[in-house]
Amino acid sequence: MRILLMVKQVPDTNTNLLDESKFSRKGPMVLNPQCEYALDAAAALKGDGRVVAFTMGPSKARHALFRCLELGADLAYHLCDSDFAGSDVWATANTLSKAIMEFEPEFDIILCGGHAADAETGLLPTMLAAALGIPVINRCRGIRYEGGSLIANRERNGIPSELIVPSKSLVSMIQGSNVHRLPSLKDLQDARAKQIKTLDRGSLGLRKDECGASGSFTKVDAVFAADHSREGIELVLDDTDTALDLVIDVFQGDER
Amino acid sequence: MKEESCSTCPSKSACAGGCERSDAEMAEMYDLDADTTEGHMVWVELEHGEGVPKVSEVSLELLSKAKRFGDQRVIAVAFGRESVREIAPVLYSHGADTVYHVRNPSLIDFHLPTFAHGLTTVVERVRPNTLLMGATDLGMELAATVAWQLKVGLTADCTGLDIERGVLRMTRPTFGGNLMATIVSEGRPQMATVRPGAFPVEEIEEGRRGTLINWPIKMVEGTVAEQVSDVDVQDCASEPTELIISVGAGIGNLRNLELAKEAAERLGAELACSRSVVEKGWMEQTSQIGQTGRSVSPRVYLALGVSGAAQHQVGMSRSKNIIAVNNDPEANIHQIANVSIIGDVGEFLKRLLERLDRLDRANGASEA
Ligand SMILES: Cc1cc2nc3c(=O)[nH]c(=O)nc-3n(C[C@H](O)[C@H](O)[C@H](O)COP(=O)(O)OP(=O)(O)OC[C@H]3O[C@@H](n4cnc5c(N)ncnc54)[C@H](O)[C@@H]3O)c2cc1C
Repeated sequence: MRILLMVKQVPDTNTNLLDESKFSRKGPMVLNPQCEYALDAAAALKGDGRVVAFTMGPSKARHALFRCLELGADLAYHLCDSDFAGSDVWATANTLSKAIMEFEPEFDIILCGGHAADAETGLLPTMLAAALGIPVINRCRGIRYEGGSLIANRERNGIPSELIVPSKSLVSMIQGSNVHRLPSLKDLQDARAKQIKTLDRGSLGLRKDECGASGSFTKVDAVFAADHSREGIELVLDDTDTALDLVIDVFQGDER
Repeated sequence: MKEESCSTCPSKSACAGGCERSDAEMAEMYDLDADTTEGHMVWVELEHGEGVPKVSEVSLELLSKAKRFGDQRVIAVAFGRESVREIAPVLYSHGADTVYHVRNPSLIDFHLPTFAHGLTTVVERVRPNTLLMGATDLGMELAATVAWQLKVGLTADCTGLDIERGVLRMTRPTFGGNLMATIVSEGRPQMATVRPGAFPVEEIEEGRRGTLINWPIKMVEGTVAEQVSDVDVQDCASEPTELIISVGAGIGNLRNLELAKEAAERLGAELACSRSVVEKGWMEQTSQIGQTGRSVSPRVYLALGVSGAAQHQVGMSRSKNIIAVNNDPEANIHQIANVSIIGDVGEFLKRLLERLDRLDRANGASEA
């Protein structure tokens, strides 16, 4: 099985080290959690095939690729160029699709995470599939071989179903098993022998206005801290009767 | 040099090469940059069962919102067979002026290649200023495919929309819900997917009329994954819930979770949860509210032992009434609650159930 794996390096959103004035990428970075699921599925499905990982991002995004190489990928491509900065989802899909068509056009399946923990648009998998003109299966919770076919468990609109994955499709994962695996000493040693190839704008044959901020159609106009606070009444549970009366009243239709 | 006549400026002198007007001035004079697109288009998500299909709540929310923009006509696009005609009155009453019925006898289930092609052809005909759809599982796939084909920007998961002189300002949570970003899009239509529940349905006008346009299309060949088992997959988001009891890590143990379930049943509420509870394996991910779960706006949201993390708030802050039970007075959830109860969840549930028992007994007694 020839598997392509699309991954992203994201800020660890659990640590909340955010600079509210801009999309800061300070603070610790991790492999996007849902990409971990894809990495895991890739390793499980690989057999005697090959897994090739791709990421687009600044130089430190290489760390995401290290993790892929330690946990099953054989080769990695790092799409890295200052001209790629500021890409929206359209530009990202465009750039990744060019890299795939140029460097790894022979594949059986593309795996990726469904959502990135930072931007969270969840649109990239579908748009990348559209760019490549291949079928897409989103919202997968598991993928396995059975009776000679590849079967994906999809959950769409809260309803689970099992699908036969057509060859040359893109599958995005929203859940998986075995996350946060630790590479063994041997994994770490093996990874050292593996290669990360860097691809810049020139090597993809993209014009400057076809990628990055200038190849994007959406622009961030303002960023501000979320504020959902509202006026309310505060009660202590000792004041049980009032509290419960109120709760039951509200449930039964009294507006507060 | 041949003298060329030029009608672009009042100056009678020959201008070839020597025109002093800048491109920008010319553009302004002729309105070359003027946006000629018009109308707000909404993709109507339908649930096809027996008989007349059902319109998803988020589609009605979007029609209503588009109408309240108040500046341009509202166009609804609905896919399906003959029976789709019968839902047109509902779409008009919620704000649609025109309904495009994209039809094909074999069009029932969501078929991404055909839906994307159908919607793209309607967009190319109508040239709308905006194209909106629900940020549902299907809406996201359709939006991403159409945006790629049309080569236009797309903003996902919006919770705020404003229109200023034809420019759509789209606000969405980002970075785990801690930040909000306002995005604008180049090109037309300006595309957005919008969170279900982000906008209310307002000003329903029963009996309002509109125009129905038939738009027959061919099915597009294109591989889609086939289902292994024949379980029927309903392609539409489920009913919105009016009453929700949501449990967080503060629920503490499975015994309390059982009490919460019982309370939900007796109050006719849905039981939902925070991500921590899913991570503990106590409830399914489908019940999770928040950024990586569902977004809801019920009439009542009772949060039990939920801290109110930004990622959780994104999914529920639009609830009409928020009641929070949390023993930490400093917990974030209290800031967004209408009613804050500082206390222990287990204790609260025990007393709530006792109270419901008493009410039942009283009602039973009065009925007897
Ligand atoms: C990318 C990303 C996406 C996320 N998406 C989501 C999402 O979609 N939904 C979501 O919910 N979370 C999400 N999270 C996680 C989120 O950040 C929080 O960690 C989570 O919401 C916390 O859940 P909680 O409130 O149940 O638990 P905690 O934060 O642990 O809060 C428990 C609360 O219970 C209270 N408590 C404890 N004991 C009692 C008691 N006996 N009586 C009363 N109160 C008590 C405590 O005071 C505390 O406030 C996401 C995180 C990331 C990084």
